[in-house]
Amino acid sequence: MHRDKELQMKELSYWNAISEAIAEEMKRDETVFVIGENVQESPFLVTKGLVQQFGPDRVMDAPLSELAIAGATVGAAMAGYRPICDLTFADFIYCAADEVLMKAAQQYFSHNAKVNVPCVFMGVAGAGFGNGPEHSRIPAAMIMNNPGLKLVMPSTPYDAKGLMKAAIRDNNPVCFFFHKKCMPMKQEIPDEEYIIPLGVADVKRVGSDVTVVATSYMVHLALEAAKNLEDKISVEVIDLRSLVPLDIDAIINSVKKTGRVVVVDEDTECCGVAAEIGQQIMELAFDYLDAPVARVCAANMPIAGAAMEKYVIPQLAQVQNAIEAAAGSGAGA
Amino acid sequence: MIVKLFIPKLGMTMEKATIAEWRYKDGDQVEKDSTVLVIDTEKVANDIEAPVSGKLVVTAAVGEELPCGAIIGYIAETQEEYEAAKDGAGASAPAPQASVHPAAEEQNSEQLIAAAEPAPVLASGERIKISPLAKTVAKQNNVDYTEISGSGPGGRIVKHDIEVAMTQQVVAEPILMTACPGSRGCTGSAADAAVKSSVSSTAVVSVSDSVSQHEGKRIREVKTLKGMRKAISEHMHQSHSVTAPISVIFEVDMTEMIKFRNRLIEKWQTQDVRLTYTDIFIMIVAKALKKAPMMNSSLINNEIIVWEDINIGFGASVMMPDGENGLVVPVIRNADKMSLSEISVTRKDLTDKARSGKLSVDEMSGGTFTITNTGTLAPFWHIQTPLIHQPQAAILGTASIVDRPVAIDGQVVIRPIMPMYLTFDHRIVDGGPTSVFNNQVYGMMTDPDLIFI
Repeated sequence: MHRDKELQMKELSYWNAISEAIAEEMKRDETVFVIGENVQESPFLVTKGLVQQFGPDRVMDAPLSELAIAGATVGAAMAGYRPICDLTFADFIYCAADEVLMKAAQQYFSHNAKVNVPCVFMGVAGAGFGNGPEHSRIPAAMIMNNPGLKLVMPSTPYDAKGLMKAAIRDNNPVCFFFHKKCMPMKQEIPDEEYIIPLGVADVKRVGSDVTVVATSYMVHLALEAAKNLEDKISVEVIDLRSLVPLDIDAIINSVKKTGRVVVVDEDTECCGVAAEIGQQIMELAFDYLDAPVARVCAANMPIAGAAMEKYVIPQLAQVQNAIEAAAGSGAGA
Repeated sequence: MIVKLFIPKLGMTMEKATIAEWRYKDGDQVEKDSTVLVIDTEKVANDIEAPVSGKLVVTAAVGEELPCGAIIGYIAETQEEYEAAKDGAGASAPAPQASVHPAAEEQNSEQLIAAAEPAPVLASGERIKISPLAKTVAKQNNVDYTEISGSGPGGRIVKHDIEVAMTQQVVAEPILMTACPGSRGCTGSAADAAVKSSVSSTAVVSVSDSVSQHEGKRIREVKTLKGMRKAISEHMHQSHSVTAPISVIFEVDMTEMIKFRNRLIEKWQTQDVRLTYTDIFIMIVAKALKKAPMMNSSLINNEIIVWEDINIGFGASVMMPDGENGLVVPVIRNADKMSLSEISVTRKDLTDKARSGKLSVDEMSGGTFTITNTGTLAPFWHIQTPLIHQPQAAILGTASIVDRPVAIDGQVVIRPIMPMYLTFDHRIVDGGPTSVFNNQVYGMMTDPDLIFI
């Protein structure tokens, strides 16, 4: 990210960056509104304070039915609004699956491009707090596997704000999964308005030996691993930021430089995000690979709760080992 | 028991060899110590003898160029072992290690060296593990990855291995830009020809049988580029490609040198050796190099290495077995520490060996400076601009001694004059050290007493 030093900056936490983005967009565009379970109180803080500012008509508490909330979202979007549907936990998208995957994603195609469904399905995602199998998922691969949906998974406050604004303004349904572990993270971000376009990856660390392609909170694991290994391996960390559209060019450019790549993703390994990216790398940069594409993902298991969680979800040591293995004897020599 | 046949390492600098001839066919019974095949090294042809008696398995074809240590065949003692070796083509290497050792003890020391070298090549038929990137880089740089051992997991060749191979290639041997021997069978680029060098040499011959013209010109004969001709061709091209050569030409009045040599010949009369000008020149050059050490250096991998040893090579014209003329450069090691008679005896010994094709690879290696004499080739006033023997800094040439008019004390007089020429690598030295060297040489040539000062 490139920021002018003369800009006025303020420190915002990840959740606050998201709520600020929503508030700015609600102020800018009257068709933007929030609907969800307890969005007026907002247990995850991302819509906190909005009801005081915009009133209950635009910050609507809904009954406990994700399918109904998502249905209202899709209907409103087709009618010309830009609703933000708060699913609370991203896992609850499975309850709303028919509206999100069948309706929101496909209306545009079913109606011969005459109907847009501009809406955001947001939810707090990921593991890290031992919340067990129904409150710890980051259902990225499922969204990628359903054409018509965009998918955003920011890792920093700066990215979260800029990407949320882009998601709200996008004329397609966008799933916006923000990570539990990132919630308290703070960062200096500009007072001035900025938007980060969807589909543009960010090189969070420049390196030359191994490329690590990471998503969401896994970016921070990758950066930590890169730092721990910096004396012997030069690691480049690419934060995808949005998975649909996928900035495959950024990945390929980096792989052409390093010849070695590790994809780190928190979703389940089988048919997962890393599998798709690995395949695309193979198709587009086969002749540049000096080692097999490696992946570090959640094990093919339900996400265990409490202390057992770490045996399913990728941990720092795994990321580090994968980078070292990919570097092999050729790197740093 | 099955004994492997290797490309032996016959000298410190020997990297590879080409199979010149199999004296026996696959399946023939060979006797211990009989010559099984002949290999062409960079400098000479060598016979490879059977370490044991048995049935021959041939796995490398004539014309194939292979690194030292590469397996080129087997000798199997029994029919079963012969068939096993044929089936596996070496992949299953059926000989247990323990049973190889008694045979190894009977091998000569050179073959033992070869056996001790790790064989970098996989036996034929085995799949080579190489990363796509390494393969790409190898292709771009014309590196033959079948001769590289991989450092990656499971022996996979990775980019790093190719890069290492490339640096070794540059230091240790000429870049293989094989000249196209002028036949239709060789239509690709020079780079292609290099990759296919072993294949194209046979292809050229077969095509030439049916073609009598090339691009409208009638062909008398097509000669395969091989053996010494190939080595000279590669070496000269490499020298011309990598150096920045400048030639300095000067004449010396040989009046005093002729008298000096005649006096020495009178005083040092032996039956076998007659003191030559070359012997004296070697001594003079060795002494001049001490005064101009930069001329006794090599540029290797961005480093100029100034040699402590002064090893003088001298060009010797030889006749090759096929009747063609060839050139070798035997080396007189530590010439600066030798007396003139020692230089003379050594020079004579090396020249005799060169003419009878008995020079060892080591006797042609390790030179730090080379002299060449074209006087015997042309008995008239002439000069040449010789190519530098790589990886040295310069080469000094001498020509015929011819009576020429010169101005002395305002008078034109006739004197015996010898042209001399020095080609130096301007990457390594400039005119400064070169003139120090030339002034030293000129001084000792025109006033031989200076040799002893």
